[in-house]
Amino acid sequence: MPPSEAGAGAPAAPRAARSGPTRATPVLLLALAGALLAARVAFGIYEHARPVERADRVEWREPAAGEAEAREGGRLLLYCFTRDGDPRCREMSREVFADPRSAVLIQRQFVPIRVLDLSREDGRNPPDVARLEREFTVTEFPTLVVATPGRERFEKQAGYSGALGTTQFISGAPARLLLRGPRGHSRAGRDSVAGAADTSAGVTTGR
Amino acid sequence: MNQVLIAALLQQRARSLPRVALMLSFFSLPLLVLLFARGAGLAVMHTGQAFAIFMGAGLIGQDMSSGTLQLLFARPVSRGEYVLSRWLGAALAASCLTMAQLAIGVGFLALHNEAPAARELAIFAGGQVLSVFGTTSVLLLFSTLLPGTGDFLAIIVAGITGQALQLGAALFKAPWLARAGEEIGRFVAPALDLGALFGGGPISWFEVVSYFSTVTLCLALAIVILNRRELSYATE
Repeated sequence: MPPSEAGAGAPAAPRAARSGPTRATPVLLLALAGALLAARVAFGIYEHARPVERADRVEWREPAAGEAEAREGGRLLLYCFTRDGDPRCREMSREVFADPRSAVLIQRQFVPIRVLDLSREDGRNPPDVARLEREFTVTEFPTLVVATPGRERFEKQAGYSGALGTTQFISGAPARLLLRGPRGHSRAGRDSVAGAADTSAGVTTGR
Repeated sequence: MNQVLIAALLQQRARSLPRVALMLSFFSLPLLVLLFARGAGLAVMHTGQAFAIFMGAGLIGQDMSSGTLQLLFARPVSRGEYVLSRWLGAALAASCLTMAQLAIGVGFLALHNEAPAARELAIFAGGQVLSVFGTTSVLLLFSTLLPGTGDFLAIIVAGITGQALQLGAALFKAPWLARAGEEIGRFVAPALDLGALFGGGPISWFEVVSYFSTVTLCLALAIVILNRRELSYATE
């Protein structure tokens, strides 16, 4: 901005006579700021040890219903492979899926499907879950997969890389899938995701 | 608060063509999207922080660079009063812009039969106003430390640093680095998720206290820093 713009040339002094220092220390404000800072540190430590479990704001679908919806609307699928009680899965749910902006982004861009792995609890998974885990070679929880409606191409993030990394993966995946474009590969060869890994840690692409 | 100082700030902002152009574009572009696109929702009107930055950049640094402060403080105006008036003026003006945009935007949404519920609207509006006041506080603090519009650059650099630390944390599997990045981000862009606060679920008091701590700390430090600053006619 030009200096002339900054000229608060308006008469700033009130007409009434004033007394007292013009550099008074804002004691009350400083005390309040200090108290809030102390409370911030205390709550920070407390909530680090006992994180607040916020409600997941994403409207997850069951695999079959979600896939049908995606095919019908020609929309991308977001699979979230998760396990009950897993600390990393809960962390991702708390930091990403409970965040209103991330939830809106997910709802708008994808048909979100939650794939709950029950192998630890029941010894085996329902057929739908087993099929999807096999298809996307899921070995780690949580794992996110963004796939085209017919699952011809997909992007996968194994593990949880923090809220920022995950949000970037989710928001960038549609563009990456689009840029790669359809190349007519059959689905038979697409399970070997490792061969097409991109540079991000834990993120793989498949076709 | 000094109404004359607030009015002077508003006049000063209205005379700056680049600012007015930027604010106008950030005001009208989301509205154009809402007018023509269906299903965009309130999300496109997350402009509170942008308005705060356009209104607040150079809040004190510009007056310092131009020599206005030397003249101003020759009058019986306390430095605390000056700081708080600038902060309140910028934040109120940015809030008014946000609310005006929201009102028009909701009208456009209603044209598409997509008007949000009153509760959702109130939560969104409240969140935007809190974001405006929070961001203006941070700008105010940086503005007492840096000349001109250096406060704006400081916010950008700090924001990028916070994001880089979070990405680095993911690469190196260092949770403490992620936390540091998160805290920097929380400081430079103070905001409160009112949806979570009034949603009936568990409340993160850390987030509530963090927001108000950032605002009060920035205001208090800005006054203390300006109180300690010696102004001379040779000041750059």
